[in-house]
Amino acid sequence: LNSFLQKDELGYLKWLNDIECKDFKSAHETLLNLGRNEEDFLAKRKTLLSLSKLCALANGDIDDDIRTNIRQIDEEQELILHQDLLPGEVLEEMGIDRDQMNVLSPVELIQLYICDKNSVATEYDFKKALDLMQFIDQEDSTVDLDIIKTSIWGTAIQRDISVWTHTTTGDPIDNVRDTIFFKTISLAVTSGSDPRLVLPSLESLLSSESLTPVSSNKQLQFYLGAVYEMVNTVMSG
Amino acid sequence: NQDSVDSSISEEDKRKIEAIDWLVFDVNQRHEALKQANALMRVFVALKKLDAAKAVFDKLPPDSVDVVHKSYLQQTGSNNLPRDDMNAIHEYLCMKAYLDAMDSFNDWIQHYHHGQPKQPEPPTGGTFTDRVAYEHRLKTYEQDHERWYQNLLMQTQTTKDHIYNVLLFPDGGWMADPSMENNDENTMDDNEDVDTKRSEQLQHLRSLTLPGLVFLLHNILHTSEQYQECLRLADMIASEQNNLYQVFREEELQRLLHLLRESSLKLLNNGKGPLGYEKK
Repeated sequence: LNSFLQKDELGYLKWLNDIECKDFKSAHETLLNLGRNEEDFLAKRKTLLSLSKLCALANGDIDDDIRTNIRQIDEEQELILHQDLLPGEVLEEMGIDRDQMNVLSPVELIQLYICDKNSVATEYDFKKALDLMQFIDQEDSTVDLDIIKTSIWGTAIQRDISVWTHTTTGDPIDNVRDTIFFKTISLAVTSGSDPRLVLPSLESLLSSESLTPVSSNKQLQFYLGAVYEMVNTVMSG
Repeated sequence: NQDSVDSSISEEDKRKIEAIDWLVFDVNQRHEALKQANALMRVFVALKKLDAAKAVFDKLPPDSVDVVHKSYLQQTGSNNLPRDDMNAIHEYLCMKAYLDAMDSFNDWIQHYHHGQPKQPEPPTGGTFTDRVAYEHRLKTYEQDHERWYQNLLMQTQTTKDHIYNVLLFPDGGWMADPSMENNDENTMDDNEDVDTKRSEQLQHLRSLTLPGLVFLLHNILHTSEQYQECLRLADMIASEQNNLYQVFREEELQRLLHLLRESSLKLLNNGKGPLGYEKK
């Protein structure tokens, strides 16, 4: 561990020296590595990556490798922005200090955006949770994307569970139009995604853990059936 | 020195500035006055003639934005200003933010260099009265210095805010026309030449002015020992939301990185990490 830390320290001093020697390409690479490995402070990771990008641009000769690096830095910064925009209320509830917070994984961010602590969560938070799925490492075998997807939608239903299980007459779509689940689908459509790709299958949604206590509720099954049918009709029509 | 400012106003400049007076009389011409004044200020700022730009700015009554809106409403019954008028208002507000920032920076320089109290020389003689007088002067100096430093911090905060106002100008950024989706029927077909030329001038002004402002901002942050904030300038400039890095030429980015390096070395000297973070 000690030798690793020393190497880390050296990296820190190396980019300063590289800038002094006008070796911006080398500074760019060192800073990129430091940024990717920084887990303790989100803000520090952000600045290391920003500096790395500026060094790449200062280098002038931008080859394909550097271009790829810059694109990856921009993606990383987008993820950092998602964490920066976490609602203050959630951070407070979780006892996280915004200025000192460590780097959270995409899965952790998804959970924070839609957890009960975010009591004022809207369709925008749920949409953000869905958007964050693209940042999850596909290679990571400990994460199951399908489970995460059904759990996001299941949690959305839980938010208005009394509406979904309340027996009424009239047009089923009209009855659930104001739920977060329905508004999240609308939001996905208006931002250009195909809801059939964003939604899990009706069966896996009903068998998801977050809906276990109510999955056999006939009214819920009826409403969801109506929503899925509407989505299919609208999108294929 | 590329940062130096030309404070002269030639006779010809004066005539151009005074011509604005003729456009200001009629409130229904105010949108035209705004456009002419903007065009003139653009040229003056590009030539670093800030006093001349300020003189133009002062020719426009402060309620001009309001007047443009009201007179359009009276003439057409509509609240939706044509796109070129909207752009002119945006540009006018950008110019105001810039002139405010430069004013504020000049106050800061003035305060920093000229307001700083001088430390008294210790007495060469050494009689008792000399020493007492010296100690008294030293005490006064310390109080003055403290007052000066507190004022400097306040002036630093104001200047910093004004410069950030320019760098992070809302609605598309400083001297960038805001995008308008609902106003497309109002594009100016007959004025396309003017429009292209104006866009080029605006873009030119961005790359001429914004890097310099970042260097000024670094200067005041570094001088007031806010080194961590110096390094965080990198975030603002590299961000895809602000697009500021695009107005920097290669040499300017290199200069910026050298300045950030200086701030980082100060942090290391103060026993912190190179970006100002303690170990967790």
